[in-house]
Amino acid sequence: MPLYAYIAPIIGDGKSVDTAYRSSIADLAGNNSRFYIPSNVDGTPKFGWSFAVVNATADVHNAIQAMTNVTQLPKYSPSTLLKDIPTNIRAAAQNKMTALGINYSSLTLNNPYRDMLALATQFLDSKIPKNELDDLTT
Amino acid sequence: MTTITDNFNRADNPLSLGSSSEGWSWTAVDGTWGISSNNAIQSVISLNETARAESDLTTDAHYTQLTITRFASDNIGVGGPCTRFSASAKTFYTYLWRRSSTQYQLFKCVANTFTQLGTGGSTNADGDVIRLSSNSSNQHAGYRNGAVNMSAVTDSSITGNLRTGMVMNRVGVGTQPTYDNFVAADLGLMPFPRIWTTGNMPDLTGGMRM
Repeated sequence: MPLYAYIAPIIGDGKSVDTAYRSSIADLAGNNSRFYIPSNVDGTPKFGWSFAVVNATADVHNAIQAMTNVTQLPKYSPSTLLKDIPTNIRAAAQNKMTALGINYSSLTLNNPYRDMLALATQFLDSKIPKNELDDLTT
Repeated sequence: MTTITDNFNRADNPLSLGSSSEGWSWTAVDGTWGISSNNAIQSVISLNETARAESDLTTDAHYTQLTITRFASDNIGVGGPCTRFSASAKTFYTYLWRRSSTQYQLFKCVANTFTQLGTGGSTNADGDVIRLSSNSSNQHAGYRNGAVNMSAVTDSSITGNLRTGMVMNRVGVGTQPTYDNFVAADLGLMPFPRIWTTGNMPDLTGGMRM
C-alpha cells in the first residue's frame, strides 16, 4: 500500500487505549502508519491537529479524503523542488499550513519539498529529523 | 550497558509479581498483578494496567521485550512492553496488541493520558515475542519475533526515564493473557527501521532514512 501524508484533527479523550488521543484518521489507517502528536506535560495534545503518514489502499484513501477537516498533502517525492510542484497544488498546501501557524518565509522555490514537510513536522516537534518523511514517494 | 530480565519462575501469587531472581522488584502501578504457572498475569479484570520494573537502565535509549505466552480467548485483553517508564508517574511508551483493532499499535502514556503514535502488524499468535525500542534520537519502533513490525516514529514527549515495564488489559472472563521472559536493556548503536513497501521505495536522491 502507498503512503499518504495528511493533516488531520485530533480526536479522543486520552483516558484509555481505546479512547486515546489520536488522529481522526487513525482508525482507518493500515499497518505501518504513524502519527505526530506532541503532548503537554499533562498528556493533552499541544495542538489540535496531527501530522499523519498513513498506509492506505485506494478505498481507504478515498474514505479519508471524504472526512471533515482532513487535508492531504501533495504526493510528491521529498526531493522534488517546490518549483516543480504545480502552483495551485503547492499553494493549497501552503495555505493549509499557514492557517496552522507555520511560517514559510525561509523557503524558496528551489527548496526541496522535504523542507516544506519538515517545517510542518518540526513545528510540532523540533526533534523530528528533516528526513523523517523520506519514505513518502509519488 | 545494563540488562535486566525476569522469567517469572517463582511460586504462584495472585496478588504480587514479587521480585526477579536478579533481586529487583516489580511495582503494580495500577491493577492487580500476580504470578501463575511461572507467568505474569493480571488477577482482576481491568483495563490498561501497568507494572514497572524497579531497576534503572543506564540510558533512556533502550528496549523492552516480553513473550505473550498466551493471548486471551478471542484476542481480548492483551497489552505489551513499555519503555521510558517514569519512576514516579504513569508515563511511558508502549507497543501493544489492541483487541478492538486486532493490530499491534504504538502509544505513549503521559501522566495517565494515552496518545496513539502508530500502527504495526495485524497478525498475532501465542508465543509472540514483542519488543519496543526507543533510541537516543527519540525514535520508537516495534518488533514481533525479531522482525520489524512497525516503522520508527519520532516523538520526544517522554525523555530521561530509565525504567521499563509492561501493560496488560484483562477484559473478558475467559482465558486470561499471560506474559513471560521479560527483558529490558540499553541499546547499542543500531539503525532504526523503516518498512519500504511496493510503491513506497527509498528516495535515494534525498538519502535513505535508517
